[in-house]
Amino acid sequence: MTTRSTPPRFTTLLDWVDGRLDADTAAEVADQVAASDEAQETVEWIEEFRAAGAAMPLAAKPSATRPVSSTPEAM
Amino acid sequence: MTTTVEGVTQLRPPAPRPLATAQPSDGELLARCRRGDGSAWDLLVKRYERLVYAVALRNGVDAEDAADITQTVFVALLDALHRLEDDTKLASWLMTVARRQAWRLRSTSRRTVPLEQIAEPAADPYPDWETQVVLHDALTALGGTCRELLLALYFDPDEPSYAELAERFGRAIGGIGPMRGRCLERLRSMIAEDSR
Repeated sequence: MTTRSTPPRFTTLLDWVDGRLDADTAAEVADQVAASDEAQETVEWIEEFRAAGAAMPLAAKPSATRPVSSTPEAM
Repeated sequence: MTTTVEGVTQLRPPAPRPLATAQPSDGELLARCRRGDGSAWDLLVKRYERLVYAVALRNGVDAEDAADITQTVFVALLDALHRLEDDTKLASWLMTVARRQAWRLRSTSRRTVPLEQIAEPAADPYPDWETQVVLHDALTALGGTCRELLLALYFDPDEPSYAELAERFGRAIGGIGPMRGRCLERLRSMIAEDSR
């Protein structure tokens, strides 16, 4: 009898997407993802999140420019 | 760090740093700003300066103009402090104002060049805008260490290492990976709940 294993945990999937697993574990997770719609949805979401970060990196404002500072006045 | 106790040198872990979870929320900072608290204003600016600058850059202006727009946006926030409709949506408010300022600047500068040299603007040059707005509002709601960690790992072009982040957040290096997983999973849950 074949039993369907539970999908990998979120953190494991994140490690997999981030390339932080060793080759054997990564291959195992890849099989689990292929077999699970839920895991695939999670992986897609993680990839979308990563893409959003890459699309709009939060670089520091050049220090040569004026600092953004002013003090709000109490009203 | 080493200390000597009765002639015996012992290794002592560094003193724990205050956790970022102790950081005030946007709502708290805005309330303090409304009372004229300059330190709260500085914290607020520091928290969002990079985001505003990034939005301006992403909307087609150069670095110098993006810096000017950043200045303008925070002046606008100062002016609107008492009229904000929803303090929990500060990120999207700032992003929207920055975007409009960038578009305004670009359309103004276009008037100085011959019409034939003006490229037709796309309907929306920033197709993932809504995703960005939702994410940054959710990150704001997440707050504290989680927000800072996720921004550092996935939005910081300097790509700090786990070792640097462990130092920054006063955590063990082995805890950074699992923590990012918990934070991102929570963020996903918050976005899902918000969209229901």
